[in-house]
Amino acid sequence: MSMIPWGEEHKLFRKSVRGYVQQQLAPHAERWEAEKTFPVSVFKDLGKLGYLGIRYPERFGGSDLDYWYTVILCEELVHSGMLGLAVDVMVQCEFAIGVINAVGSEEQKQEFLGPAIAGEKLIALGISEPAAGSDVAGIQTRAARDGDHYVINGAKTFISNAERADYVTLAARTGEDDHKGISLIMVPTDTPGFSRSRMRKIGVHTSHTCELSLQDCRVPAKNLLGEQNQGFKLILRHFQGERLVLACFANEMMQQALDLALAYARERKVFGRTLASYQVWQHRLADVMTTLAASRQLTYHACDRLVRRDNPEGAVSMAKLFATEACKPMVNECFQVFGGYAYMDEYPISRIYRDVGAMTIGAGSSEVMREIIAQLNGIG
Amino acid sequence: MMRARFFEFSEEQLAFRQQIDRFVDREIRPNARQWEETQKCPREIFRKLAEMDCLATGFPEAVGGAGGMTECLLMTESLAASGAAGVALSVYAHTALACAAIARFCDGAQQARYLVPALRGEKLGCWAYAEANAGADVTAVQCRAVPDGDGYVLNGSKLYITNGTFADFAVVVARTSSEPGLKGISLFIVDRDTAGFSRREMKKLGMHSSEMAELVFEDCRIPGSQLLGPENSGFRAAIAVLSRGRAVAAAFSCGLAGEALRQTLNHVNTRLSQGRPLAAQQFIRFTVADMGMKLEAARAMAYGAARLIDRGEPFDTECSMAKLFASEAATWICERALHLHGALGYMMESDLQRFYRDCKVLELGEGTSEIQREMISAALLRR
Repeated sequence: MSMIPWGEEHKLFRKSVRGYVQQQLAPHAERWEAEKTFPVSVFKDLGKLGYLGIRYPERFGGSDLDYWYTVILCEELVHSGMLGLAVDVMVQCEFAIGVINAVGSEEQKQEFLGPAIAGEKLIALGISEPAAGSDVAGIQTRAARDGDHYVINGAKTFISNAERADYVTLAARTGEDDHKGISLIMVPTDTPGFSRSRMRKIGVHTSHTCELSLQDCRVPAKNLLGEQNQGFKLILRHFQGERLVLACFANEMMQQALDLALAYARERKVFGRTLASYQVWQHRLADVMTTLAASRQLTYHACDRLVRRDNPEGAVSMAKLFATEACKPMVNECFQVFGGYAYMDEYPISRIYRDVGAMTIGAGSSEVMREIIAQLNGIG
Repeated sequence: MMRARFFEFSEEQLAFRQQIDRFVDREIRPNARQWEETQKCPREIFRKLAEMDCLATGFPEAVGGAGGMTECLLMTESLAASGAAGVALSVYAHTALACAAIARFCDGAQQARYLVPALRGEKLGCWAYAEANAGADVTAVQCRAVPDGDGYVLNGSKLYITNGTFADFAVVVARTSSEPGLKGISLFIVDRDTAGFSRREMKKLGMHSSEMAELVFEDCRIPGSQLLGPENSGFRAAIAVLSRGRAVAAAFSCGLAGEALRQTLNHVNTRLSQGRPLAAQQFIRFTVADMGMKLEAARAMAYGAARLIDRGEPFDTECSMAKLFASEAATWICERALHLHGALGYMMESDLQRFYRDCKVLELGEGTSEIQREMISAALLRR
């Protein structure tokens, strides 16, 4: 059904990821979701299997592969039944370290990239603030140069994978009060003045989302990534992947919900017949399948542009917008199949419904995606 | 928040709404987060509402009631906008379902023993209807009451019963005849301490300030005096209770969505993005316009259905339409409300995440949206 010519290597890779996810992760989903955490050893296991270094050079423990393999990894992780785990893992191996690989010095790659790829050090990405989400240019956390250190003050919020992170790839203001004054700095979480607290949210419970507070945190100036005041450009250029991953997450959440709904509709009888025998449900589930297929193709189209470095921003923004906006009503359709059972915590469809709530917000809200699409196409 | 005036209320009705709103601000809103957190229904609310002569709204004067269906909807809408919609759900299950069923079919003894104390908030009830394989389909009820001497022996189980954890009595829909389909269904009032009657709490997605249970009846012996209305006439009784309840459910949706919209209007006026309030963005303004429009349409349908009931005119289809439209509008409004709050809306410290979880049950309870569409289309095609 896919226009992507998945090769033998892709199929083998998917099979091996699926094997690990279904044997080592999925059986624990109910318990880890209830405990709102998963063992830190999962990162080490993923590191040993080579899943955290897909796109990175072999000399840092990576595999030198392209984004298609990242797509396979994040698609399969969703089927663990733990979106939060998938989020934390993708933060670790993609969102927080992609930029280190792109602009980091040799020394920075040795210090941060290698241990992250091995799953030995955990990393989070600190951009959002209480009053600056998708509006990155508005961040207020400030890093003032003091000799060979930066002194950082400010607060970050909604930071995934942060509770156990050893480092945060942090966006801070080092210059003017606009997009030209932002830098990216690696902040060790054991720096005096750094503190964090876990945030409670509707769903995505296995993601360790935190608020961060930085008070007079002294960080070595050598931890600056790339050039000073170039952070905004780096964020725009290197975080396209995050939006593509969100699109993949949304697609596989739809797939999971659809699988559950189909199984239930074939079994549950109403007025003496299975739900699946009613024309309305046949048509509504056909619509879910059609929407999902369209969403996947747009996502793969965006991935293709990203891999070929062919101006991917527009396609990636469209894929993120389409998949996440489609995901909520489609999951809702599947939810409705279950009637009252859907509302009960003991049914996995209820978890999916809770989890997709933030899809249209994270990694750039739908409104921001529309702004980008409009601007790139010369509207306004 | 400005309310459109598609529907006119009398001075007395507006004063009544104000009274309930003040009660909500005083007794519910300050406690909402704590009740939601502990996932317990604050049972003293029933008595406090009764002390204000509000619990029996919509019931006959003979049992302490006053007002009609319109007042009942006004009260429900205000309670549902309290930030603790579960409380409104608990009150709804007690009055609009359990008490309404008793009021319609009770004899003098049942009225004195159950209805009067229930409407004073002294005895709390639940409506035990849904089963694992019988939701909207009354004919599929498998819970069975077999005649035995001067009473019955009840066996079976009921699911998703609001107030089921603590109710003093349950109004149970059960099969009393082996005849298939509609005929062999009866209603019973079953006391909490009846031997063989047990309950298991069910955890759910939202409405955390209400409690829900599975009820189990194992060789439960109940006296013949607990039969509500004539034997084998329970089908029509159940349908009548559910149909009126749908108008109330529509007002419930309006209350929940109205509170989500109110908070959203505050947020988009105060939250800055790129140096301007969110409301300065045209896209945001148009979204709140749609939210307000859908809410007012839902209100007009809900109170229109209530007026039909108050006037004694046929109301079944209009109640279904109001419930279907209002619940789907509420789900849409609550989702957009969360979205416009950004990630803040997804955090447990926000009220928006709660509305997003709460509203979903409105499309499931009192007949799913699919069942409403079946009934509406059947009525339209018959005409």
